[in-house]
Amino acid sequence: MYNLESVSQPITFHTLNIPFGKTFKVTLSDGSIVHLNAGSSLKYPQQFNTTGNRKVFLQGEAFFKVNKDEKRPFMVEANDIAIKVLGTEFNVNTSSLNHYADCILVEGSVLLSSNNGNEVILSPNEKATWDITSKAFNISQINTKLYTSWVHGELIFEDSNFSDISNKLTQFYNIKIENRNNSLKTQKFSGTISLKHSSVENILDLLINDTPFSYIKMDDNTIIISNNQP
Amino acid sequence: MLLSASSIAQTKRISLDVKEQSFSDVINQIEQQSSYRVIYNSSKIDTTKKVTISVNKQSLENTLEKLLEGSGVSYVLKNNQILLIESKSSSSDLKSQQSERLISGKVLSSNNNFPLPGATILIKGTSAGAITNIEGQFTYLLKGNNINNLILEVSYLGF
Repeated sequence: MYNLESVSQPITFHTLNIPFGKTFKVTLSDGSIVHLNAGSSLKYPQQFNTTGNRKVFLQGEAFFKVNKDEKRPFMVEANDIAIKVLGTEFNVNTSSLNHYADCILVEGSVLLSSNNGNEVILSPNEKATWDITSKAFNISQINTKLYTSWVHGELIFEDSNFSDISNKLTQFYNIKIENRNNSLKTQKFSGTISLKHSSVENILDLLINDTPFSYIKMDDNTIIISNNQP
Repeated sequence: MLLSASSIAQTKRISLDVKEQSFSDVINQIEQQSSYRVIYNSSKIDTTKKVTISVNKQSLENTLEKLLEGSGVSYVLKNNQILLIESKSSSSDLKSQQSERLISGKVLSSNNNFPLPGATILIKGTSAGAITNIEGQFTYLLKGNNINNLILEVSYLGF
């Protein structure tokens, strides 16, 4: 419809910082959709150039639904890696703390490259993890639903340790959980949690019926889980 | 208007007609037909075993009761979230339910009805119990075969 920009125009960037406890959906100037997870940040141009790459910068986790444009590849720069696509759906998760980065492909095809020149092409239902020590990509087959359910306000677990579940709840409900119950630490759970219908307290009140424990919520938004009998 | 809206939500019915499908498939179908979501301890609940069930426009409660009948699994429902648990003994469901009860409450100051954080709730004669949070609320799982006769003692040290 409109095509106001010229190639020579300087690019204005926006940066979105999403706090813990929130997720956010943004539509870019090319119509591509980005779901940003809690505690993540995305830098993107107000308008993509009419030629060249459509480039954005990610810290944290995001799900991308990229509109097809073969003349302008879409690029995500995240930590030590870059992800190049034409038009597809994929999830990227990074942590600047330990230089962790992974990419999950739902459909289409993506090209990942690292800052030391390694390259790998990902197929649907595959996950590429950037290994900082070996400086290489590891590829594994995965169930994409486990990694992308957060986009729909749900968490799906498959044989997950309580600590993994606790970490996710921490991120989505912006709360701290301190587990001092060793029995609960070793339990593994599967299933689906609806983030909007549930709460940390709701989940804990239920899990007490599986593995008895007691918990208290402190005034600094920390939940302390301890053994049932003091 | 509000009343009719909530009654619609409550009459959300579940229909299933499955033969020899895995338990986890049936759970997925229930989740697709409703806003209920299911979690379970994966080392205690076997969701690979095959089940056959046919229900037509039944409530969630009726559907789950039929699905879980005689399976050694029971469920707890709270705010659309379901937890599947092992029945202590499938033949004495009622008894095992009575041996555990989750209690919760709020402790208020008697002179101004303000919530009291840090108040202690103890089971009389023991050192077991809970402490209220900043909103004066507490939760505690009572266990034992004599829950109905337990007495709670509430104490609070003011400033």
